[in-house]
Amino acid sequence: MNPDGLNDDDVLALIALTRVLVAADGHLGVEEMKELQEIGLDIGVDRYTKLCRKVDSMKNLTVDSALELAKAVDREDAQALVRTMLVDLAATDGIDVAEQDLIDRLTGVWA
Amino acid sequence: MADRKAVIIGGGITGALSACELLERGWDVTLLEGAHIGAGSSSRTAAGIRQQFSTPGTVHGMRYAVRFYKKFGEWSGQGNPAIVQNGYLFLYDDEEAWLEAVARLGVQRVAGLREVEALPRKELLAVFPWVGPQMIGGTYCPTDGFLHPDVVYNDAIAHARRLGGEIIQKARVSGAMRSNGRIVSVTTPKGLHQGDLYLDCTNAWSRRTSRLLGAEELHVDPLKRYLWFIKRSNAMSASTLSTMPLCIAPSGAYFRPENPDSLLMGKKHHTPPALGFDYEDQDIIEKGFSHKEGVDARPYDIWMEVAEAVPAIGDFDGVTATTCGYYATTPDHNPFLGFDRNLRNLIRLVGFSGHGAMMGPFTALAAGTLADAGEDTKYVVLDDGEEVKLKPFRVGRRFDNSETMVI
Repeated sequence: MNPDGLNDDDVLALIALTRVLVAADGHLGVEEMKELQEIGLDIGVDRYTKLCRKVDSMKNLTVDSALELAKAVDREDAQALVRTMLVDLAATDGIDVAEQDLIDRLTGVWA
Repeated sequence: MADRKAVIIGGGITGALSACELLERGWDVTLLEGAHIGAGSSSRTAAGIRQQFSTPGTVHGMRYAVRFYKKFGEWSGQGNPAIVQNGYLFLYDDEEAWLEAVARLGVQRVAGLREVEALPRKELLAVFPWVGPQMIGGTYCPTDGFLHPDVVYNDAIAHARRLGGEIIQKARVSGAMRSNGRIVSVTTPKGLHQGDLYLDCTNAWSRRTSRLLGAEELHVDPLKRYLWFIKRSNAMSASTLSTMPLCIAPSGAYFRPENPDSLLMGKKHHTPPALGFDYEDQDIIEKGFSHKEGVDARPYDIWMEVAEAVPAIGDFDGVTATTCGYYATTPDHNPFLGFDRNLRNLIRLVGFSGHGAMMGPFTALAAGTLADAGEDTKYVVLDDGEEVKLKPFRVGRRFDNSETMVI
């Protein structure tokens, strides 16, 4: 599957997960930003911005609420793609404990 | 009488607020200023204050700073407001930069900055109709804005005096006596000053301070920065200008209202670090940077960049003044907030990379935390209980996690 095959629920979950993943190691680095930029371009700037605003309108985005959104990603190929995009993002500056924990919990949600 | 004595070197915003913080914690404080209060970078700053950063710790620290500055008049006892919360607006005209901004905004919101918004073009123009039509979006935080730096350092110094602090001006440090890896006293034209603890708040002067004290020479480069003032015309009303946020054009040029009839603007530029500069050099305007040199000079280029972001400004009456001073930059654009590695009773609070005024309250809180602990601490605890990691600001850190929200 390509990113343009993700539906709005998938992208919402992806955005929420990227936001908490980047915050998990306490820093947004240049490489991470480039990776996020790629995600935005893959999804389409207008659609990505619109869905980011929807995620940002959530009162309190936490790891738990992002994982709750991930439950809406119900197709296996979409889950695989979202997971790959997250791992790539985390790997840009080395996957730290908090990031690995989030990815493990996500795998648990989709098990 | 306090049994812990601190000597603060540097009488800008960092030194003044740190003096108050230590006095409130029961320290006996002497502040030494080489010239007069605010003579350095603090009086030459655009004084923006924003919470839109890419380092979550800085976002938390800036949120604390905004809370502090909002109650500044009451805290200082002088009643003078320190902050103008007109907001802070980053403007974008290309998709890649816009996507970066949207990504950063996610970090800021997770860090608790819920007011910051990504405004796509339509929403941007609805809120700010004076923005140029080629802008594709903006990130806006309404609780950001800019400071009155003179109010901050003057009123903080007055507060420090009321709390019993000793403020000595024209007391430039010329040397130090050391013993067993500690400073015993520092020398100034006004005499010897002894303390249990010393705080280096000299920012752009940090390398020189290091050599005078025998401290670790930190990677702090003084870079000349200019600001210019443009006179308003009828192209924009005084009320529109007065309520304009501090704006960042896509080119990196920044501008904000100075008063209802004047706009302040500036932009990062590349000049070599002035490692050996002196006080007087702060006011030397290099060739090509004065508004008096005509339309080929730098301010006119920046004026045009500003006018691309806000077309009405292109019809303003003209550039009327040039001012300049030094930024103290570090390789990762984060300051050093921590104990020196050569001198165990010296705290370094330098290298603010243009963020010193806005970071002042957080820096002072960090200074108080470190002073009380007597060693580097992992966290600074804010008034809302939030713990901010000091690791990104530690002396001796690797510079591999740059702050990416640098103007």
